[in-house]
Amino acid sequence: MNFKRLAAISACGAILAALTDPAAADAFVEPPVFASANGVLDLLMIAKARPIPALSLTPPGGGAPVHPTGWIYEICQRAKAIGNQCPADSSTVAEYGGVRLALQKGDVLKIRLVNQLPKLDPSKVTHAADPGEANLPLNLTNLHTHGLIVEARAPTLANPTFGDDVFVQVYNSANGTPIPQTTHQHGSIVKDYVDYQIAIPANHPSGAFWFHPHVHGLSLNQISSGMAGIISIGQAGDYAAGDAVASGFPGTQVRHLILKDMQVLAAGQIGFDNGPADVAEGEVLNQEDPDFCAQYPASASEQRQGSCPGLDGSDDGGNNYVGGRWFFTVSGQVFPTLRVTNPDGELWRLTNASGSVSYDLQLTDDWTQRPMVMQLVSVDGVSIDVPPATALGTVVQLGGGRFKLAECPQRLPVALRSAFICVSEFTMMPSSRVELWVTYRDPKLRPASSPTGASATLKTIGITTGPAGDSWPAIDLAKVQFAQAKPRALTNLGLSILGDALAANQTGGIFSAPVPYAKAAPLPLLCKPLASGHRRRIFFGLVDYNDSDSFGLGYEEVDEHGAVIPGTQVPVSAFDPSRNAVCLPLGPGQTPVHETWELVNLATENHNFHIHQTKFRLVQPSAASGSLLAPKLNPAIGAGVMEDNVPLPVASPNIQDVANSQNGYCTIEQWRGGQCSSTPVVVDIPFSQLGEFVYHCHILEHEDGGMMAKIQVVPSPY
Amino acid sequence: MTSSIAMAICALTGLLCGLSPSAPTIQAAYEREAASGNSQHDPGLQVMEASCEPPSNGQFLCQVMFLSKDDPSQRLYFDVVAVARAGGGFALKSGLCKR
Repeated sequence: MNFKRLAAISACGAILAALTDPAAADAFVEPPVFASANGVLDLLMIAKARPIPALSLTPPGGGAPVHPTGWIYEICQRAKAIGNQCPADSSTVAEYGGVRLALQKGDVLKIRLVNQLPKLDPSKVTHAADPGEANLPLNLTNLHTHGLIVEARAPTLANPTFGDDVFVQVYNSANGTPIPQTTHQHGSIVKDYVDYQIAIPANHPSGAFWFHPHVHGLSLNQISSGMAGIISIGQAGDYAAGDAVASGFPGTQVRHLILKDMQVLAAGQIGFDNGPADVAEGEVLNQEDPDFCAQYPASASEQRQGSCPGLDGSDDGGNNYVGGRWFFTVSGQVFPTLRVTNPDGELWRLTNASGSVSYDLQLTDDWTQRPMVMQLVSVDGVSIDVPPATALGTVVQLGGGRFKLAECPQRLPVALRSAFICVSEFTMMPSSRVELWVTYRDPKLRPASSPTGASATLKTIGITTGPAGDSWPAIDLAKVQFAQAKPRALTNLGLSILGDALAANQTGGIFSAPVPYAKAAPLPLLCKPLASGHRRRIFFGLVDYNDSDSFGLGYEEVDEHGAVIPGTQVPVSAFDPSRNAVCLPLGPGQTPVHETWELVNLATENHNFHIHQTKFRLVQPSAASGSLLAPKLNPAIGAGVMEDNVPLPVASPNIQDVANSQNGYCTIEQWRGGQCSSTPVVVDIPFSQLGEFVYHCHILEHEDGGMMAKIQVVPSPY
Repeated sequence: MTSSIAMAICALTGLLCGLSPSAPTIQAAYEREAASGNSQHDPGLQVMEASCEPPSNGQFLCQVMFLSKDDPSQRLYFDVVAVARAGGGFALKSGLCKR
């Protein structure tokens, strides 16, 4: 927990704040869709402030409800735009909940991103005083296509557009011109708008991805204010079919559930990192204080349908949020109702688009109050492919602690390529995605017709991210009604998955085939392949152990015996975009390169490792070569599960200093000396895309605080 | 200060305000700085385009597009630089960073 705790004075000073009824159970509405045509999706996206009608606070003593002003993307087709303005008609979408960009493999995604965001009060911008960050109150922005395996292309004279480049910064001229900084720690600076052109490889996996801003120091502010949407590549039917009839799962039975949250304040004064400041009724707190609400309801009668009430934490050194409310929306709706009517169930694509919130999701049967079983279809946009003979323990390890396995119904005697993987609980740290097949099941867990009135509640049951971590609240997110009376046509016991976790790693797959756009070039200085058998080791820690906000990453290279390579060690350091922490070339013939990384969490709180432009799989150094967990990938069996973010387990110190005087963080030396144990999470990362990009903790408080580093992938000279 | 007001002040005072920095003048200022061994700016850059605001407190803030002369890929970079009048030309005060 690193939100600055300052005693607060509530101007209202009252528990009298009346709140709107949070239990309105509107029918769930799919996010608006912008679909590509003829290989192109060409959009104008305007980042701007806008009131959010779906969220409201009623001021103390009554009066008209106040709708918080979020930051959203107003989106239209470029062909319909007038200059940098969208037309004022129904073809323009400006939803807080987020849109879906529906792309196909081989498409080009073109986006003109216009910055019309408001200027910020510097006293409320956490990182404005960080080195080189004095321009943050101008509310610069940019865009990242999270999870897409695409080139992080920089502009050139031949093509002045940007690829998936997070180093560009777009300023709104109306907020003033950025003042040149005395450090080199920035990226390309442009005014008012930027043009992106992102080519989706023809061999890209089908699945669910998302987009969001990625400005270091403001990512949490902007995502917490609403700036995010989702991307789909291909169709669910590309990888999921019925087990009874081998036809693809219909797109009409796919739901897109975008999980966002917003902390809405009552008028008063609260403490920010830079000191206390007044806030207006309905103002958005965009730093996501986990102590905004109590983690669990105060009593059984407290309804938490889509929101929880602000808490007075001033006795504990925190803020007084009484009168405010923390909203948790599903695709922009507060506690919507999803009606599952198709007898073959639905595929739910969930995206955690929150800045720092972790969800621990269950679908709880309203009658039995037990978690229902769902079939796991994909993780982070890559459909799973787990050979049926795989031991359950291996599956658990592949999941990296993200899901709780449940018993599946007996398999049919058919040659399904991937085993049914059933889950009853799914932990989603920020940026996580998952696809789950949801259908009503009988007491033996078999898909069945639903009895009249069957219902369930999609909820996050509350999760704490370690002794030094955060306590995220328990919230009911949506009501689910089952009305599946007709006979099933497509499914018997589940979906048959032909997963990209296998296909992506086989001949022609994106992690196997030569990179088509890479051309041989001399290696830059200090850029070389990782030696055979060597691993990169990344430390997640604090730069200054007296400062709980000084997040950073450390680095070293180790050989096949675990010995540190002299000269490679970099202490835990804050993000510096002017310095490559890692540089590597593709393999000969411009083929993807696999590297093994060890992720060492020095903290007694969880971090969430994420890397751009690729996926990874979890491995066990001692696993046999025929195992999905083997350090060297076996293309014949694939990866099983591929991810682009994974929770890192907490460290266990055996000295008191860590808790008493180091803010719950161990030093590298304490880890090395055995005073602090933390088993590295070992990942196999295939690099197949060129460019400069980043890896970081996707808890955005940590990313904005410096827990990020730059990596460059360059062409092979051969 | 808007551009029109700035121009009016220039007309009244007789200053050479009409000469706002351009890509060539910023390039010349940059090369003077480089020749003097100033490491505040990255070396070997070629300014391709510049767009400047009216001056404020004696300085112009200009958005510039530039590349590295020795980069065969001709990668483009964008930055905001500060320049000020100096003698008959301009002096580069800050900016022109690739990173």
